[in-house]
Amino acid sequence: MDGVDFMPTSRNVLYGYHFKSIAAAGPIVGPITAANIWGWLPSLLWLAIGVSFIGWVSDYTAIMVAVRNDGNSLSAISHRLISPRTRTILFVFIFFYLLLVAGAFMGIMAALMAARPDVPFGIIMLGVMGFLGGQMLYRWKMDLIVVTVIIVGVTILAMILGPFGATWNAEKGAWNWVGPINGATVAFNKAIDSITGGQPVMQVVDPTNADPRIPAPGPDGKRPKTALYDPETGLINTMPSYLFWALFLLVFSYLSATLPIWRFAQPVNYIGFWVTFLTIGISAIGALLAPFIKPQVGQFALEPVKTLGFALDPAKPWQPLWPMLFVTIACGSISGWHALFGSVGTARQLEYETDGLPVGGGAMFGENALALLALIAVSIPGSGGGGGRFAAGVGSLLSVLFGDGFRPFGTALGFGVFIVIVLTVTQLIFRVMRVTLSEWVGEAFPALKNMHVSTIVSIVLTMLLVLSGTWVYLWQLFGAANQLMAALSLLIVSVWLKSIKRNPAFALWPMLFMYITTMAATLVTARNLLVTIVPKGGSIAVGGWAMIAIAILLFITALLIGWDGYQAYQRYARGEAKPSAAAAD
Amino acid sequence: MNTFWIVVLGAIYIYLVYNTMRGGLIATSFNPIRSEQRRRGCIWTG
Repeated sequence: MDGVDFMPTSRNVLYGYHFKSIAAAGPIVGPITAANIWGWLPSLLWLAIGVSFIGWVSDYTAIMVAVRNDGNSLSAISHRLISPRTRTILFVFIFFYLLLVAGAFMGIMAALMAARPDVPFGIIMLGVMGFLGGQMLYRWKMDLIVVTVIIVGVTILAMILGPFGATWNAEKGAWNWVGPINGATVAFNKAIDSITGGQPVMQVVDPTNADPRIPAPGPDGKRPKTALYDPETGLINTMPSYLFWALFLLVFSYLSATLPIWRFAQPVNYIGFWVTFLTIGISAIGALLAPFIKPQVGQFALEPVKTLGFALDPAKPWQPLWPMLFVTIACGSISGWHALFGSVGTARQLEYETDGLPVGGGAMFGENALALLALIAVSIPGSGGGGGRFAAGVGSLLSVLFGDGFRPFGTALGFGVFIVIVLTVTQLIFRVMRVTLSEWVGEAFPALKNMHVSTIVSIVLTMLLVLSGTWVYLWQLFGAANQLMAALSLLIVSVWLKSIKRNPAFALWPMLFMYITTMAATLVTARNLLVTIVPKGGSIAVGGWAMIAIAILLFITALLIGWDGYQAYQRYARGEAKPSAAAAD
Repeated sequence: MNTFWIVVLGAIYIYLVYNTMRGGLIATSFNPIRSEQRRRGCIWTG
């Protein structure tokens, strides 16, 4: 125990910490995207079966394998159990995987912040309350309940007040942002956009219409023209204000990654937990009562099964149920990020071994509940995708309890909560990313051992990925990489169980299913990029090729780790080998 | 299908599976490290 990383913590506190460290955009965007492609029933079945047989095993065993190996990271454990080269390959895999996650999350958050003037105020106040919370708790030593009421209350109030004063324009089907807060945000965005005379910095195309800047279709089925989107050409404008909000989020993440954890990241995460918990709880009550109070909200509008997607059109994206459903819905069923963070973060704070199950498995079920809420949001009447659909769903469910007048405030809360959920995890991703980068190449490039340099390098690379504009492919590639990370974690657990002569079946079979499925999904995603993005030429094609290269890199590294793992497993099965001495973490 | 049933079924399902995982069939049959877990004090200080 060192009081910095290794710090025994009550399982109740640790449950909240692990839950908010694992639940990000995945359990929300995944089920919404999947239900829109295949229907709600396949999504529901995968959520239920995945979490029961694979998800909790992955979260729980990743924590336990670290606990039983002196709190070492998965990379260090793989060095000891499998081979030294596996550790290096795992570093390469983890860094590019984290780059994809950060890119996918940053892209969706920046687009929402730029497109919704009712949202940024709540997020700015989250940052302010994070600083204040750290100061009040650890410097002023104030009472936890008082601090919680102040910082959580002010953040939620700021989120709800975002749309205050805006009026609905029924003709245009859009909001007039004339309120004190949203009006000021619009004026601020315009002032920034005037730097280029109101012209976009660049234009991107998303052939799948999943980018949050693309508006939902109107009653006539056509998407309206907006300041950011032209339905005739399909071009999405990347304005200077988009870049500003992306930069704002990156500065937020930089502070989280480099300041002492108590100063910013931990209190922000604490606020995030309460905001998420209250929103899930109240929305669930709304969903429970909706069929009796407001049947038009409570009845599912989405078909149970839309398509199985196996038909292949050579020129179109291919979305077969297997393997693509299993990577589109990642978190909520099973996720590699959980294993990665569980092993280096949560495990080091576990007080008793028996806490591993309620903390690891329990938080996984908590995330599953969030995914079910997202599935409800997409299945009830409404339109749109991703975070927008989640926010609209939360607005509808809260209107069941508080009346139609509350709907815009509930929707703003939904958007705010979505960004809080994603941002609180993204800040931790940059923390893990800078550590991975410095451990991986710090010997060759000593400058990267400096945490500020490694964080800035990570941030710049993420920004380049975000600007490639092909967000939805980033998302599916992230899903594939994330599930592959989970498979690799289960592989390490299986080898470890074999090395200590225990039955590895409960980790081995899920590992085989996830490994084969995600390797196939990585290839399908690369193929989709090749036939839909690359032919567009120019900078779009460059982004497409970059992602194909990352997909191939992930595929090859996973293949090598799989081979090394298989050989190590065989050695332990034959009783020829014993784990080598512990490697440095 | 409506939202009421998803919430009710989801809550029952999560409750049942979680309890099974903690002490029932899944835990005892498939989890090979559970039987070794003891409440043995703070694991980082021994």
